Amino acid sequence: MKKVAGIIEGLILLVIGAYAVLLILSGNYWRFLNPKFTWLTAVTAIVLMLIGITAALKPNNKPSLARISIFLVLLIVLLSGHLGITAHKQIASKPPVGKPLSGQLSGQPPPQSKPPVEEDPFAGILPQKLPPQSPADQAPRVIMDGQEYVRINLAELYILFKSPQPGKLEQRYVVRGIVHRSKRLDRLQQFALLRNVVFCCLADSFGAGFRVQSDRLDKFADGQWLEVYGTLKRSAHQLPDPHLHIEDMRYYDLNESYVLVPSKIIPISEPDEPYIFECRTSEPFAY
Amino acid sequence: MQLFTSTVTAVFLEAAPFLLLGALISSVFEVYLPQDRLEKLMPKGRLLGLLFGLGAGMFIPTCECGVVPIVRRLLKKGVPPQVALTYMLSAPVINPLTILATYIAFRGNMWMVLGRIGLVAACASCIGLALARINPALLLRDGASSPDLIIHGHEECCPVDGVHVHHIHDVQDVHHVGHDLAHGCGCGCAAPQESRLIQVLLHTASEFLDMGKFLILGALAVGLFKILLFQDALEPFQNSLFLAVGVMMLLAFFLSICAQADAFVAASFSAFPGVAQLSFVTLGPMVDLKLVAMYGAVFRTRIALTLILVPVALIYLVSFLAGMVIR
Repeated sequence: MKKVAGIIEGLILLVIGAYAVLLILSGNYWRFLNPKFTWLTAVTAIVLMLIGITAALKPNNKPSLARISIFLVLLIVLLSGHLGITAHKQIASKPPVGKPLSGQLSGQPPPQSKPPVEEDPFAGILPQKLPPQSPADQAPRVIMDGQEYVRINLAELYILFKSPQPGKLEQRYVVRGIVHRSKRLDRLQQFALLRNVVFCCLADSFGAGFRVQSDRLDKFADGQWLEVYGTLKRSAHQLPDPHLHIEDMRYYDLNESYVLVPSKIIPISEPDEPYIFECRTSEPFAY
Repeated sequence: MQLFTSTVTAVFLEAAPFLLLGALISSVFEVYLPQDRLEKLMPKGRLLGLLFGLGAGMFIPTCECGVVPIVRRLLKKGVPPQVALTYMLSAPVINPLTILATYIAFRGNMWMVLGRIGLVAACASCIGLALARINPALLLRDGASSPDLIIHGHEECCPVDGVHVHHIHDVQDVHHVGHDLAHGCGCGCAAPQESRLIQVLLHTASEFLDMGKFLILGALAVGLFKILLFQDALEPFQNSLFLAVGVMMLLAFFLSICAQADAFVAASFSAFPGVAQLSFVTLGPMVDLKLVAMYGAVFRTRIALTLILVPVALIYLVSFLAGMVIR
């Protein structure tokens, strides 16, 4: 019996190692950890498999049922996590819910009657789901409606505007993020645009972002991905606690002092890598 | 449920390499380093030992998960507590990677960097010095039955948790213990006739399984905490220094974030006072859910309590007083 338990302990290590290898090969690694650690997990997986095989062939003569049980719980959690990812993939592959908007009147007093939604010049030109792009493939700047915008991710913009340098306010930026609304922000005709930043793993992730001024809040739904072109201006209002309840972003930080004033907003599908894994402090930004 | 499973998976996968590295280093120490070699290498004086322990992280950087099995082995090998415990508590913070991460996360705020290093060093030194007189093996839960201890004919009776270690009644007992524990690790792994490499592998497997179960329990608790607590629940505490420091310390304890990443999370709680953020980044690497489980398994109850309570009290006190002065 002891020998069997010892063999099981070895096999558990082998299975965990194999799981880590499969996770890397499946392309889902980023859902748990920053991809820059892929090599570290790969090395760990190989060593785990090696010691697992050795331990299974030469079983420990003091196996512990407690540690076997706890490791089996881990295996169940790993399996559940994998099944959850598969389900999430199916949901995320649906097209975006919003319609493209342009010519935002944000930052101006709210109109008495809502203007009709303008035809977006890019509707039908921009694909519903943006093709996967690696930061290296992208130009650091993009021209939209004759204006030049700096491509930057929300975390980089957040860091940039913690203590903005002269000239940063005049600059136009394009960012991508998820819409989150609350009654408090609605009253200010704002919504939060956030994106999860993952430094090491999902456990240390938090949302970084800005409030976006908009008088067409009804066009934006919680969880919707947007590409927002615009400039930043000092907020006229003290940032209230927005009371956002975000299922997969329990901690977030909205910039208190600046609001994003959009000149164009384009709904997009969830990017292939929705999290921010890299923050640069100068151009070209990671976007 | 998805957030729970993803968080548990992420925490485990993030910590596993460091735990494995710790288990591997520990095993190499066990198999290749004779008992007296390591003791001879250690500085003799208490102060020198303390400084050695504080600075060792700069050369052997480890995270808080990986360092516990290493220190367990060091203590079994007779490394003095002022070196081993000081190293265990300070290495996750006083190492180049964490210092750099703190500097970046707080956007070059040197006060935060120095405050973190200073506070961690203070906690580690207090504990290292307080426990310096105790025989290293007696700090450990299984120290009393350690063959290393028996072989060395440990004479002094140091009651820790009421256990008197020299109660080996006859030669047969000693022989039995020595035989059962093979090369002295007590984990039941590796017959001595195996090659040293195989011994290291088997030892690593056993050590990883042993420590890994506490990592898993910690990860499960972190996952649970993550799904239960929303950020706005913390809002009422951020304007009171008294509560803010305490809440951030509780958060550090329950979130159990790796020392090299926790500064970024702490910095995201920008509505909290700086000293509360400081308490977050100093407590987490020394006391969190994973570590409490590991301390409880490795150290005797009183030692584990010391390792938990001294940092909690010291960090709270210093952070609170610093906050009062800054105000």
